[in-house]
Amino acid sequence: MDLQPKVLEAKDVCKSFYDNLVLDHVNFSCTSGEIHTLVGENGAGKSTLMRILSGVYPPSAGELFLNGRPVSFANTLQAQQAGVSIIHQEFNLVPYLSIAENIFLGRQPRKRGGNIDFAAMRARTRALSERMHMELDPDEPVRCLTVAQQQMVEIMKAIELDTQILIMDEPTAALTPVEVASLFETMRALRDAGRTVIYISHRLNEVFDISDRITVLKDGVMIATLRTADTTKDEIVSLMVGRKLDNIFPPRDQAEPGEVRLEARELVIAPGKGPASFSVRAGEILGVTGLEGQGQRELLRALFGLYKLVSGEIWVDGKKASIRNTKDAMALGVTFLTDDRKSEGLCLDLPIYRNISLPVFKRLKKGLFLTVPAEKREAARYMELMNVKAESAAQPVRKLSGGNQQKVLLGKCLSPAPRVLLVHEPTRGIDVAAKIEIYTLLKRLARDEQLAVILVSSDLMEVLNVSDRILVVYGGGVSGCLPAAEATEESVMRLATGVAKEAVG
Amino acid sequence: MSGGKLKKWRQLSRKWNIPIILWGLIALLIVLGFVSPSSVKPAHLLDFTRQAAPMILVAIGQTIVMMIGGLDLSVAAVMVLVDVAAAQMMMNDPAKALPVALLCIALGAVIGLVNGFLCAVMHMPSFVVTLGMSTLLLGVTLLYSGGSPKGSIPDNLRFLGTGFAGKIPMAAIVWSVVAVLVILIMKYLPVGRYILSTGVNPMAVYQSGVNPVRIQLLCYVLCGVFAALAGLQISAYIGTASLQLGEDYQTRSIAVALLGGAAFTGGKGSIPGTVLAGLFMVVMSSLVAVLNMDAGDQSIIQGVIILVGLLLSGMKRDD
Repeated sequence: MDLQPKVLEAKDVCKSFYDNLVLDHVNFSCTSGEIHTLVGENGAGKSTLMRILSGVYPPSAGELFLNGRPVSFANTLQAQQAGVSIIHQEFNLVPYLSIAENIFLGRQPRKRGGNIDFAAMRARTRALSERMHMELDPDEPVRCLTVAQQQMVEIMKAIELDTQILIMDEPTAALTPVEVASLFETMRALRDAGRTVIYISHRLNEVFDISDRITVLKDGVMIATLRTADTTKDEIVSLMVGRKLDNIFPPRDQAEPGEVRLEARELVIAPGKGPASFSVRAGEILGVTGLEGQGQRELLRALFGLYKLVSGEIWVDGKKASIRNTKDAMALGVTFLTDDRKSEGLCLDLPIYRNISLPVFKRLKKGLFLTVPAEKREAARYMELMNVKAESAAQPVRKLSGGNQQKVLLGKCLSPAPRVLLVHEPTRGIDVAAKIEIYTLLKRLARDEQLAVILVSSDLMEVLNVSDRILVVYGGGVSGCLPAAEATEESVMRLATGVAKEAVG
Repeated sequence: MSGGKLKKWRQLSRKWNIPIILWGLIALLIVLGFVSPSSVKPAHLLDFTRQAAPMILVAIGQTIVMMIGGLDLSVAAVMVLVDVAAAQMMMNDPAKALPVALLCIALGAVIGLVNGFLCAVMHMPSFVVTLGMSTLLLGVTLLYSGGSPKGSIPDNLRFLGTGFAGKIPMAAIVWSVVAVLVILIMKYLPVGRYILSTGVNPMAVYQSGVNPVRIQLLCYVLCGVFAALAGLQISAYIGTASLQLGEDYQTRSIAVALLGGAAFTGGKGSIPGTVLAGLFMVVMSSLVAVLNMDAGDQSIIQGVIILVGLLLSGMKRDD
């Protein structure tokens, strides 16, 4: 039993949408002064539970208790007034208003006579930001802030509301490591002030770094609530998916790389940067990593004609290639999986089959005509290969879970039968089961189909465990290239931070 | 009507991919039949298909541009310019009908290309670009005609606007052929799929190895071509040049596209829906006319019908 009193408790909460039971008699509670993490695969019901706790929608059955008293929130406003606030992944900020105006939106302090007291608003905003060790100008428009700073504004808004329980839905998804560290500092400060932070995350390293307790949800059922000190990552993962952490990554095997498929010679992404030279062979996975913003993104996009290089040559299959746009790249057998599947990769409102067939209309058409059955046949192949879970190929991609959307996007990259596959953050924001499937598939494509794969990722574990060689990028250039079997987190980080520099292999 | 029944109809519509506006059209015809039984005789119904020709043609173009998230506010100006140019250049000479008509269509294409260049390549908002183009074309038309357009349309072209093949108006055959062609292109040619996909997400199209800017250019060109066709159709019907003809068609072409299932956000639109919505507009005008009301009431009734129609076609998009 927990010694401290429960501030917020959900008892036997069920929620169903239409006929789908999303939460099945979930019991969840948190105490004051704790950081409580909620983990589970996509679709496990984490967000639904949080939305019920914060008044976005009511539970279908079950009760909520706040400080021991039963409560029901008709809307988020009532929840806020009772001291429960939620920060969604998409912020609720008005870009063209200042920080202070956003924090006091709808409840601006008034002067006598009813005019808004801007001076008081600024002063209180300044006090808040000092409390959080942030240097923010209250008059700065929110649109000029970084994502991390906008998040701080959301947190300040919640504190100003005298929030006792702050719910954060994947707050670190868009942050750099430095920003994550400062967010965690803020979260700890809130906890030490006796407030409760409920935190949803996919990143287990962070979860173990920050939480006091961890609750695992699986398929709408609460599996366990554990003290972080008493558990391990392995245990959490096996609770989440029913398998061990080791099993997430495909077993390491010896690559037998063939001829060089793609070679980058002296690529310069911006004046004074780099140059970067590297190559990838048939049947090989080249992992590329580095700190945020070191040029790995630009280098990868340049190979697909999405980024204009200052200078440098790209050779494909031993011939110098001119890749000015995506059409040139695809004509050479290069395809690209973007890190932003929603805004760049998929047509969310179109059916699955159309997304997969989009790059291969030319191949699918008979004579002049392209028919839906031909598209569906093509899509069916990749939906089976990728194990896409959907009602039918005609379902709009928007309705799929993140993992399944990512699989559709990978299907779209594979349907042109590429010889070189460029993948950028292939498992960002997707559940563990989908991750495992994508890793296994990438490995199989490299080994069995002799595909050359370049994998750019900021997830170090992913790069270490999936690639055959690891290229570390620093300042637009290559600071080292290690065989994956010999690389460690430490050796890669040394190269990534520019501490060490090795001969380029 | 009960909510359950309405839902069933909507499900049926979705299953067979029937544009919702079809039900609106049928409802209007039923009301018209009660108010004025003589108006729903076959001959009158066929006349609706003739009257709708310019609206259907111009709205098809508008739908294509709206599919990619654009808007063309210059279609009416193109129609007027084409009407005036056709009458002045043909001067009632049957031999000139075909070359001048082709010239007019080319003119529409060039205007569309300029619109498209400014919107798709230069990334200017289509609202402003085409509004500017509209004003510019109006000026050109006034200069060209000297304020009082002359000339007339020869009989061979007029046949396409006023003639009949058996009982079927030639105008209806013209728009039917055009509509079927466009429907086939949209449904069975890759370019049609690219148009809709570009409307949904141009970057996803670009990452599939296709340049979405070219698709967008093509859509504006097509819109110009269809506006020119609509202008020729009007010329063929009235036989002379007029500076006032097109005005009604500007905002209504947008309303028709929306009624047919298009959306301002792009990525949506249906050519069969637009065709039916074009007929809907004509039947509505006719209904208001037989009710014999004064101008204010007419306008109010039309506004209400359009809003209800939009509400109905919008419902499908919700779920």
